[in-house]
Formats: sequence, structure tokens, C-alpha cells
Amino acid sequence: MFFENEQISSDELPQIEHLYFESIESKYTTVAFISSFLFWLIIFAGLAAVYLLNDDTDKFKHAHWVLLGVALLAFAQIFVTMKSCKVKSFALREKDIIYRTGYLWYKEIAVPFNRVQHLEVVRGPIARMFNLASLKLFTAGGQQSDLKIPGLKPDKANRLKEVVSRKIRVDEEE
Amino acid sequence: MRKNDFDFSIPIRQSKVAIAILIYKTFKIIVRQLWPVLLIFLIGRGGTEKNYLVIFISVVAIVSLVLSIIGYFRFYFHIKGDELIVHKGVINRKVLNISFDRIQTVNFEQNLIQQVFNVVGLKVDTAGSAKDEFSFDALDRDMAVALRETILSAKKESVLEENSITEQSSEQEFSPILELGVLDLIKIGASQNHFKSFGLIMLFFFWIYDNLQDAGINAEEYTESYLPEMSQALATVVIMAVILSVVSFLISLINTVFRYFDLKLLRGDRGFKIISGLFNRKEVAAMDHKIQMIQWGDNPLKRFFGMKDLQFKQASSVEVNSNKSIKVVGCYNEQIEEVKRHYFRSGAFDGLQGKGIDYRYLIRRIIFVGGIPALMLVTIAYFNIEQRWVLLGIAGLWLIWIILSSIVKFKKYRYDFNQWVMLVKKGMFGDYESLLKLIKVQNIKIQQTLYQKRNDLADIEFYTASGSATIPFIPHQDAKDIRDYILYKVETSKERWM
Repeated sequence: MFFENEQISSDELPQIEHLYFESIESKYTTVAFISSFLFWLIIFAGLAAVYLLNDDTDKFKHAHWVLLGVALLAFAQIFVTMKSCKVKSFALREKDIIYRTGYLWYKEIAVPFNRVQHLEVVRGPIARMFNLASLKLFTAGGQQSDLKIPGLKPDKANRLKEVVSRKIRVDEEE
Repeated sequence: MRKNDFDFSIPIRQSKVAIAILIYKTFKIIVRQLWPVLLIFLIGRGGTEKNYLVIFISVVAIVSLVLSIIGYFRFYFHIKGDELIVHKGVINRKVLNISFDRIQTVNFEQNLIQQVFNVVGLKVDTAGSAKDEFSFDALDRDMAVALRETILSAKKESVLEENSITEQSSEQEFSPILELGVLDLIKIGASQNHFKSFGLIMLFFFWIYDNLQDAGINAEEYTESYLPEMSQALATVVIMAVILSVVSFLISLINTVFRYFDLKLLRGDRGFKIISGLFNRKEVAAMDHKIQMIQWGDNPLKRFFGMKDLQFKQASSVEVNSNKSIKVVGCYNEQIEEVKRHYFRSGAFDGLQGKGIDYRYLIRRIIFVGGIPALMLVTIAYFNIEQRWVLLGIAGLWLIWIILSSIVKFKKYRYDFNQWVMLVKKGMFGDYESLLKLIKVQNIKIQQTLYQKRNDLADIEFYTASGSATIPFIPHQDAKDIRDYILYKVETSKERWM
């Protein structure tokens, strides 16, 4: 085993900061809105069912407060989700991909291509209605470190998948 | 080479001992599922129910016997090209084709039956989905060793790397780092987390109580006749607590002895090997290139004995906290230093200092984890007159606890890195340290809350193929520099990482 000890000045390192980040399709905001909305609709339907099917009115004195609380929570969640769609963007470099997301919890995730196991283009039912797809990058280990980029046009998702797959293959052959 | 003694190209069944082990396994599963029922029947007084029970048990026993025997005859394997082909399944017949380069590790395991008959259980871990993982119940030791050699040497040829890995574990190449004696075992048992066994016992009692009531026996009727007065009740509680503590202690101790009896940590050319267990002897290999992270830590009791638990986090296809992380209990500092010396190249720790994190971590934690829940309790106390003082007391204690623990946590958070490794130290009661090679990182996340954004701070988290490490509240610029540097290291590395 050889002993490498190259000196690298931190100024010479490529910096993510100066990259151009490409936003995902703005249509995705609608997709995110619809799926959040449906989620909360189900929750409310469940609560309403509990309320209506139970005739013990004494226990449900404070039901309207509970509903109000859940409604506020729903609004906040939908608001944050839509806000975060504006943040979602990515940048492709020669050797890695960087993805930005999150409004309250802003995240910048970098995955080097030589640690990617395989890729998939996935399309959910709502996303399909809006002609959108997600690109998923799988790494070894758990789901925690997998990366999913939503809100891409299908042909772009496929093209990205091709590009990255080729990079992985080249990397393996070396 | 021993592998020539066996012809793996023709289908082979396991050793006949496998039948016994299969029966034992089936039986164990059934008992584990049904023992509450059995217990209730045994305690219950019903006459006819007992007859049903006997019939039931006989049927179960016969079915499991038949299933085990069929299972044995339906299970065979052979090697074709560089694939291991396994036929198995009683009702649903399955054929597994497992190519050698997907096989991650081949581990040996010996329980009591296997030890008596000198056969080994073989566990094959694959990269891919969990359903492909399988194990052999009993192979003659020679055959198991030959099979492992065949698989791993074929794998090596196909990998064709200049620093190719000699994964065969010829026993003589290994030198011991740690061997636990009886005294060590007692120390380890004594310093286990007794709350866990205590909790288990409590659960057990609640569960029995519950089931007894279901079975029509009211435990309170029995106990009440023994507890006539309050003063005696108090005494009983104290005695019970003492007994429970002693029992929890003993359970921890026995558990430790069973699991870690005669534990050996060995060092080979390119990896570690851990053998341990009393009735169930396990032999697990941790190859250097598979190890993603090394962690060690203690608790106050362990610190008293100067001992630490060491963990090798290994790459695995399945979930992160599966059994792929190998735990070595009862290491002293010297052993940890030795492990570090073997695993990392010399000079890997030069210049590592240990920088602290930003003080605002403290403030935020106290406000959010301490202040807000306390405030909520105070609000409830405002409306709830009956329990006002209790609630206020809890709120106060919670706040004090969070303040103190936050200070300790803040002080213990330390991190540093150089060209090769990242070191993260943290802890509350104990001290935990994680050490990972930079090139093992496969995903870096920089995270900022709105507050952190305003104050130009960030959390940074490194994911490896087995577990992650986080550094909270460091200057945003530092986080970005660390990320850029690690990306550079990962992307230029040609070293094998998994």
C-alpha cells in the first residue's frame, strides 16, 4: 500500500457553492399540493367518521378545537410543502450530483457517482397525470442515503439516468 | 487445496444432522409463538382443556417433524460456473441462483447441537434484497470450509484487483487482539444496561398478570390476602424492587455469559474475526474493506471498569441497524488502539484535535427540547388547578434536566478530520466516538433550519453504507469546506470501499 499525502489547498477544490442549480418543473408544486391535500382529506374523513359514528356527545365537547388544530396543522404542512418545492433544484457535475430541498429544514445533499449502486425512474399516479417523473439514486446501505429527485420531465429523467449510468459503468471499468 | 476433495458440481444435501436442527428450529418457532397459550393451559384448572392441549401439541410436533424431514430432502445445492444454486422450500419450492460476486460474506455459526455433531451452520449474505439471504443448517466442517474457500476464491479471481483480498480465513494467519476471561465477563455483565432487563421483567410480569386475568384467575385476589396494611405494602414494594434489581442484574449477567463467553477478537491479514458464545458459537468476519465505520463507547459503569464496547459497522444490503454491525464488548483502550492501528494506515490520526461545535446548539436545544415542553406544561397547569403543583414540578425538573444534559452534550461534541479519517465524539452519560474513512462516505447532507440560516450555521451528516455520523451547529462555511474536501477524496479514490 502506497502512502499518499498530497497537499491540497482548500481554494483549489471545486466548490459547490458556485454551481448553477437547475430548478425542477414548477408543475411539481401542484403535484405536491394535490398529494398533501388528499392526505389531509383522508385524515379529516377519518376524524369526521369518528365524530359522526359516536353519539357520546359529552366526550366530543371539544371536538371543534381538535378539528381547528388539525386544520391549522394541515395548512401549515401544505404551505411548507409548496414553499419547499420552490427550493428543490439540482446540479449535475462530472463526478457527483447535488440536490437542494426543504424550506424549514433546508438540505443540500451530495452523492458521488462512484458510490451509486443503480438508478430508477419512477412515476407516481399524480405525477403521471402531470407528465412528471422522479429520478431515484440508490446507494448501498439503507434508504436513508438514497436520493430522489422529483418533478422532472420523463425524457429528462431518462436522459439523466442514462448519463449517470454511463458514468457509473465507466467508473467500474477503470 | 482442500476444495478438491469435494465435488460441488453435483447436487449435495446437507449433513443428516440438519434434520435434527430443522426439527429444533421448527419447534422453537412454534414454542415462541404459542408459549403464552401453553402457560395458561398449564396453570388453568380445566380438565378437558388439558386433553385438547395434548392433542394439539402432538399434532404440532408431528407436523413440524414431517415438515422438517421434507424440508431436509428438498434442500440441496450445487455450484455451476460462478453461481451457487440452492433448491429449497417445502410447500413453495424455490430455486436461488446466487452469483459469487453478489456474496458479501460467508459466516460460520455453531449452536449446541451443531457443536456436538461437529457440523457448522453457514450464513451467506448477499448484496441485493433480503430474500436472497439464506443459511445452511448443517454442513460437515470440512465441507463448509471448502465451500467457503471455493466461493471466496472464485470471487477473488473475478474481481481481479491488484490489492486483491485474501478472504479465506486460514486459521493460522490470525493473531488475537482480545480474549475475554471469566473476570472480564463478570465485569461486562455487571456494567450492562440493567434498565433494559428490568424493563423486560416488568413487561413479563404485566403480561403474565394480564393473561392470568384472561384465563379467569384474578391475581389481585391472591395478592390482596397477603397485603393487609399500607405499611406492609410499602415494605413489599421495597422488597420487590430489591428482588427485581437482583434478578435484572442476574439476567444481564447470564445473557452476557451466553453471548460473549470466550469471546475472541482476532486480526488477520485483511480483516478481523470475532468468535463468541457459549452454547451458540458464532464466528463472524469483518473484512477491512467492508467496514464502513468503527464506533466505541461506554457508560458510567463501564468507565468505572475502564471498558468500552467496540462496533464494526459493516456494509450490508439490508437495513442499517441489522446484525451487520458487529459488537465486541469489553475492550480496553489498548485494544481499541490496536484495532485502529490495524484498520487505518499509520499516521491516520496525525494532527487530529477535536474542535467543538457552536454554542448556539446549547441555546437552541434548551429552548426547543426544554423550554417549549415546559411552557406547555405550565399552560396546562394554569387550567388544571388540582394537579397544578405536580405539573409545575415536572416542568421545572424537565427544564433543569435539559439544561444540564445540553451542557454535557455540548461539551462532549467534538469533531476533526484529516486526509484519511473523520472523527466525531459525543455522548451524555457515556462517551461515544465514531471514526470513519473519508472514502467510505457515499452521501453528504448539509442541513440548515431557518435559524441556522440566519446565523450562518449548519448541520452536516455523512452517510456510509452502514450508519451515519452527524456534526451539528458548525459554521456554514466549515460545513461546505468539509463537504467539498470529502467529495474530492471520494471521487479521486480508487480504493475498494465495500
